[in-house]
Amino acid sequence: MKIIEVNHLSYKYNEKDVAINDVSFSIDEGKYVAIIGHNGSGKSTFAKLLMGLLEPNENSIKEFGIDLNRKTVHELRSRMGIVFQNPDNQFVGATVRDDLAFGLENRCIKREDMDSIINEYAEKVNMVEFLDKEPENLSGGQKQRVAIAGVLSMNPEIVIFDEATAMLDPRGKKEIRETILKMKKDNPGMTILSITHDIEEAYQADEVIAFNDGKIVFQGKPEDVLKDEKKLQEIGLDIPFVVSLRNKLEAKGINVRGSSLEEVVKEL
Amino acid sequence: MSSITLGRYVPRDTFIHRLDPRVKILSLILLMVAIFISYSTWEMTFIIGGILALFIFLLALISNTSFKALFKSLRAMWFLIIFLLLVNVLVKPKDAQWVAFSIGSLNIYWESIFQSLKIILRLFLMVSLTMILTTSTKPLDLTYALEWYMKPLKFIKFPTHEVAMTISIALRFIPTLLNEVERIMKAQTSRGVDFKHGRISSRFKAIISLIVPLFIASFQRAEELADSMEARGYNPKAKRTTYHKLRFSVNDLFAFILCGAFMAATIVFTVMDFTIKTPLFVPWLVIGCFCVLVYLFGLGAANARRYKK
Repeated sequence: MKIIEVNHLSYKYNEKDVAINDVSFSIDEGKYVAIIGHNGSGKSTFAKLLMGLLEPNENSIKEFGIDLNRKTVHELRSRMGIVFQNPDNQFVGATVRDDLAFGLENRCIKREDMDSIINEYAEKVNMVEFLDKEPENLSGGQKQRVAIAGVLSMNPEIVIFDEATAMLDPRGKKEIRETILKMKKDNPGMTILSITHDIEEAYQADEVIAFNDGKIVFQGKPEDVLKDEKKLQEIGLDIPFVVSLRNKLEAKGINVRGSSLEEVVKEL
Repeated sequence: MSSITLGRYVPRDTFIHRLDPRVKILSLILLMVAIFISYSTWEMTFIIGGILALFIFLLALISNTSFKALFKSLRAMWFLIIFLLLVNVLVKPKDAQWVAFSIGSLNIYWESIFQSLKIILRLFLMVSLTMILTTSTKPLDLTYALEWYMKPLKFIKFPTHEVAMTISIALRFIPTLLNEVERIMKAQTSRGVDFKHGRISSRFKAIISLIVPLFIASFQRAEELADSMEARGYNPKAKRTTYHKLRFSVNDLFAFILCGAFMAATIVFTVMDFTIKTPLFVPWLVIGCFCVLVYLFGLGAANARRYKK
């Protein structure tokens, strides 16, 4: 089933600044899709359009088979969740516990049920011991994990990560990547859209969509898309050393699996 | 930054920390009234002021507020204090006749010295009380309490929930913005801006180089925060449940009665024009103080026993 259908979607911030230019594609239910592209290629705008935070042109976005417009935006939004880039700017509560409660309050969940839900989802992202900590005492990765727990506690069918790892240190990045994979394993039916310019993360996905200048440059399996180094460089993306190494090895007839440097070295 | 940390919430588990924030706010107001009531004679003012000071010190002791911080607040007010002293000493009170000493032809009256001491005492007590409140209560709880008190305003369509949400978000972002200030200051210092030295005009210019980026960053933050809140289903107009519940316990009732009694007693003293020479004044005062002490002791003992369990 196609869970997201985009038909001739365009969006401009003003006359000169066209962010999305006549984009059409669809995403199947339960897929993990990575959207890559350099800064300013329109991928974050795209995420906001999908969440209904920006208003798309008429009949251009269908989610769960329902057209996204002013009337349906609240209903559709309640079935989706998004994790943004800046860990600080999406932390609403005074403590982790309050932040998780914020989303539940919006959903009108009864107070008596909140504590068990908060504990359940904090456990899923390994944040139980930090429940009463203030955001200034948490690392970026921990704050992002709280954001993920906040999104998961709403039982969304689609989760969007809008460069959720971009502002984190390598350790935080790894934590979040692992959390996403675990989340995918726990909820096989969940559709995940990950907007990133971290090519290594794109490798984890089932499908990759590359954006450039508000247009889709290609869509396909990560192995196929990421093999084409020249094209990636053309749209302004860095190829990580490991990927580059692997591509070169493959060209010489040596097949290596694994996405991290350690794994590749091990294979060799 | 030290002036900002003054009066900041200190997480502890004391009797006062556990009180309902609504009761704490109301008690603050009641005690403030008691502090600011004036009496007919100096002796009365200082006797009642002294009792209140003792009581407030006791509160600080119970709530584990550091006395050092309380006195630091006095130091922060030094300019105000000197100003008050000067104004009061130089202006001759109407019926002043009790000369303390003279500087040249200028007479300094005891009355004016008392007057300024009285104002300083009141200021100090007021600030101490407020500091006890803020160090013993989570800012968020204060917000919830304020929201509760604003509830009647809902009838005139006052957006109480939005106001409370705004305050709580502002409180949440104070540390974040302070970090940002520090970062921008470092960034600008590394570019040659001097925040600490130089003439006032150049320092003012330096401040602008701090404020402009800070404002831009804050607006960006606000926009992102709004997006994220909306994405999580926040709609101020829609019905929401609340996770926090304010609980009114027996202890809260006791604390409220105690502070109410203080205010009532001070009002009675002024209305009936009590002075130290009023017959039976001293015995009544002693009995009153004794009652309060017994009351406090009982309260402490009752809580200590419950605490052991």
